[in-house]
Amino acid sequence: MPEYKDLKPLAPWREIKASRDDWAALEPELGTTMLTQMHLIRAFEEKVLELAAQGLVHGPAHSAIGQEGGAVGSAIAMRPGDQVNGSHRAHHQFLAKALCFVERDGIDYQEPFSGEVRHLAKRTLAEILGLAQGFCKGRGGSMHLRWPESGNLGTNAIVGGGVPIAAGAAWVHRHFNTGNVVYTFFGDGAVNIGSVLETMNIAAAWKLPICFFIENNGYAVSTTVAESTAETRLSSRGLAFGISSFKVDGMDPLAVYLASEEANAHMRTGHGPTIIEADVYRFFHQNGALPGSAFGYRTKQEEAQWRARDPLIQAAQHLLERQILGEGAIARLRDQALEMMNAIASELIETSEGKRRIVPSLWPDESFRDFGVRGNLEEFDHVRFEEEETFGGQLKPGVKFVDTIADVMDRRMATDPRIVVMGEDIHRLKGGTNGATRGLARKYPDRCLGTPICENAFTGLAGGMAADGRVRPVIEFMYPDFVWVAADQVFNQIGKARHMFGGGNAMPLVLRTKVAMGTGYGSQHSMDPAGIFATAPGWRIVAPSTPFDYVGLMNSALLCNDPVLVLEHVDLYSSTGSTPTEDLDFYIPLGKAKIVRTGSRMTILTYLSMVRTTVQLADEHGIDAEIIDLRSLDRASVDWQTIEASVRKTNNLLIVEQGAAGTSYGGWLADEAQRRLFDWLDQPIQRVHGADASPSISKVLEAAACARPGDITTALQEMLVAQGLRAVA
Amino acid sequence: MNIILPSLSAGMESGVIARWLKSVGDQVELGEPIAEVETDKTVVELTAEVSGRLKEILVEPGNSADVHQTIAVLHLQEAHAATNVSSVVPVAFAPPSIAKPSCAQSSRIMASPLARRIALENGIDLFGLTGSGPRGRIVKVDVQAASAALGSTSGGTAAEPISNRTANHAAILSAEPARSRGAAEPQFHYETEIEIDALLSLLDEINATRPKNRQISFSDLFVRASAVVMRLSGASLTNDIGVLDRTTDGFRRIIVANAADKTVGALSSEIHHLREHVDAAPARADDQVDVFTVYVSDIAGVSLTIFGADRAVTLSVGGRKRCPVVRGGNLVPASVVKCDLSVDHTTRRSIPRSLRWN
Repeated sequence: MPEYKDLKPLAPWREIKASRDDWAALEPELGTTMLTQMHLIRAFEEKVLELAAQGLVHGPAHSAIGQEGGAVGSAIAMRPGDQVNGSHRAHHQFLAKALCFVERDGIDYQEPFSGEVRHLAKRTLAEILGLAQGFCKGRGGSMHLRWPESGNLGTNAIVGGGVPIAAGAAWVHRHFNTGNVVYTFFGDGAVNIGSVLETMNIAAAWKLPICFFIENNGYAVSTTVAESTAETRLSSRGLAFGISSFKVDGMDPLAVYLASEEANAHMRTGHGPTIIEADVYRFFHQNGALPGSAFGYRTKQEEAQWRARDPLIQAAQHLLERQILGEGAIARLRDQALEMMNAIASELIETSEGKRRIVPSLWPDESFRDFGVRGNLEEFDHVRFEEEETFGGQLKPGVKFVDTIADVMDRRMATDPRIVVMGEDIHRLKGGTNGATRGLARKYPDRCLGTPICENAFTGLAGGMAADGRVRPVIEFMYPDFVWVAADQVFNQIGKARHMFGGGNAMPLVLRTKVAMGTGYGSQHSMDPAGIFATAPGWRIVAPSTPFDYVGLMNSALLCNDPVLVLEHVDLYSSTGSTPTEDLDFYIPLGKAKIVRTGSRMTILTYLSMVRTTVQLADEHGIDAEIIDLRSLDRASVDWQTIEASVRKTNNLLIVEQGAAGTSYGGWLADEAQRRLFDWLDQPIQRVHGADASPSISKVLEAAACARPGDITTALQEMLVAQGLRAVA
Repeated sequence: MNIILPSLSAGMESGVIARWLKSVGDQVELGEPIAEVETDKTVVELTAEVSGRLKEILVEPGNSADVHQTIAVLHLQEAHAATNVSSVVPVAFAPPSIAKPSCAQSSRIMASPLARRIALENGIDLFGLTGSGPRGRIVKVDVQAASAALGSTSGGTAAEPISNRTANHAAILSAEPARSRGAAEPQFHYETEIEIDALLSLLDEINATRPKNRQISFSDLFVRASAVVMRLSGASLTNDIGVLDRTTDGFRRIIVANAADKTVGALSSEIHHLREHVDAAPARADDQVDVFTVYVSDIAGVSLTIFGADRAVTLSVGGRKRCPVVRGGNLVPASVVKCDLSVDHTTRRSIPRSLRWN
């Protein structure tokens, strides 16, 4: 018979309850502030539901009525520098944190609510209604509430999507030893999604001061916790990652407060993350003003039992028992909160021809639609731009492309302490799998972070770091296809954050990745991601084809206040070019293409490794082609001035890229080009790209799947023939 | 395959085979000149569009052939042609050469956007051009060749933008100010009536071969005639012809540049395009140039004389009617129009002799 030994989890897992003694010891001001906050939030949410029932809230209104105890109990334990984010159901958390910010010394329930409280409620309601005076100028609505000054990082409509971002903010606190913590609130439904579990792991590994606050309300819409997972005590998740975890009755704000105090003490002293699981109950359905029982997934009896444990009633009961306030005061508090919300609503809603409607002048102007999709590049106002041909300094020929990557990164990290590089294995193997981060880990150990294999979490983490503004993360995807693994963070979060939250918040993040077609890595490692990133308007894309351009474009990417994809290619890594011997501090404008070969019979647009290939083929066959290295690929940065001038001269346009047809880049470019240049074209815009399928591992099949020199040569000849000219040898 | 006589210039209907550069039995390579063809404007080399051996010559030197008529027969040598072409281009990408569809045979003219624009700017009628592009698409080189044949552009480059050429389109708000000025200042004024039955027959004949949306108008014929006469007479400082249109606001003049270089079809297209696309700017001082201007009223029976608008020679045609005319001592019915020619005193040249019809 084998011997058994019970293994103990690394971190403790405990349930916390508030005893009658704890309630007896509660400071009166803290107790009344809790009660007042909960009443304000309750009245606010009831008003939202009322307006939703009248059809005045466009989109869902996810109420947290019944769940106020968790939000208020934790927020009231925070200090002003602490931060929170939440999910689609977050009005209560947003308001609790914001109330703690505007009324730091507590709220006197006997006084009328302050102008700040009223203003907060009005701006929040306006945002939920989609109005210009809202926190995100009406862009975010109910599910994207952001007020950074108050510590509200922005709530999120993707389940679990905000969790890695909160960890990024926590990383910044740890990096600067502020002692501040971040609470990321999410529901029981989010516990089983990868973003959350990946983030728990990385946060524990890196000892980040983040509290994973699970509001366990029992239902993911209508699916029960027991249906979703075997271990229904969701705080158990911490055991797997070595995270100190607490389970608490979320209907008791004091219990939550006590749990938060313990968690905060743990996190502020550098012991890493915590989990608080608060059992709560939403009195209504997922959204709207009907109870869940109306939809048949739970019973009226169950709802009645939970309603009897209403956190507002429980808190009031304790305060009554201690004779801190009387029933009349509680009734007045309730009335005052309702009155305030009625008054606020009447300023936003009017009656016209017998119908309630939003006061028309309060809507955002339609011209605001695309404002702030990306920044205005004002950060480039006074920088020095250089081009290789006109560079005044000393150039050193024969420099390997991949060495330039490490050199410019080293230079920037030396001059800019905000830069942090992250990725898989980038701190080992002499600078990652290709040597692009050579030497950085040794020189900047606290800013060169080898991550676990979790693209979604570490990308989101970087997004949170970038949104904070105090650091500028540079993340590396070992292969571009991993963007699909991190797609939520790349596209839904980082790519949309600026626009979604109102257009004013920067997202200075750089994503490096290398196109690896030709290395035999097969279907899942051989994408050119330019076409995919070009669909996301918040992202900028640069594709340097020479070491010199890499220096200038990487510097620009690092300076830019928007997320920038810096594309590399394995074929270029071993190529050589000239780089400055000393000066690695110049920029190349985002949005400036480069004519690398002049000609008159056709214009060829290409980028990355295809630039060199296309130039060589045109030379070899003596084809009178003008070749433009696009360099900047995103829609906002394509250099139409250069392209249009060239096509007006040559009257023929060919777009050359290497990758598969489906994810290819040139389609949108051809579409836009024909719109701009139709009357100047002597034949349809032609394209060279790879095959339908992703490249296979077999060397022969891989070569056939990518655009090859022969494909380009054929296209060059076709371009001539279609002009009525003779093909050349 | 048959070698057909292509349309080598706009409006070309036939050509004379000046000489054959190859004899029967000779090997002909793709792109090699095989004959010289004389058009009414110039002599053009005809090049082989495919390699082969010249089998038969059907039109002897000095004889005329119609456009699209077979003038010779080429014996294709497939193997030779294939190796010849595929060494540089896969066969599938070889220039379209066999039985190139002529635009004249289809109502839809296949031309690249660029070719269309250059044609418009240079007054080239795409109708009748043979395309060198895929599926017979007319491309830049075809229009440039046609343009060179017409001698309307120099160096084969695209003409200057249309906006520059039409900068002096002028809005003439009313005929009345011109009339009052004409009354106060000396003007020469000629008036006659002309028979137009033959002209109308010609118009019907031309339009019978043209697509419905590209019909030549009665007015177009007068523009073309005026342009040719002005060119021949050397009377005008420019080769431009003004066309006066009556609009709701009065009269508007558009200018057709180098009108004498253009076929009636090209003129018609251009006038049509200008009417659609050019907003006449108010008249400026530099509009005061000698431009022979034509005004054709399409209202039957009503004529209008335009007096010396813009200090130019103005031909007003109108009052179209059926009436008896004396012919050989007999009265016969005929269609006539009234023509008024008014000449401003500041016109810098005398009225050309050829414009005097009495």
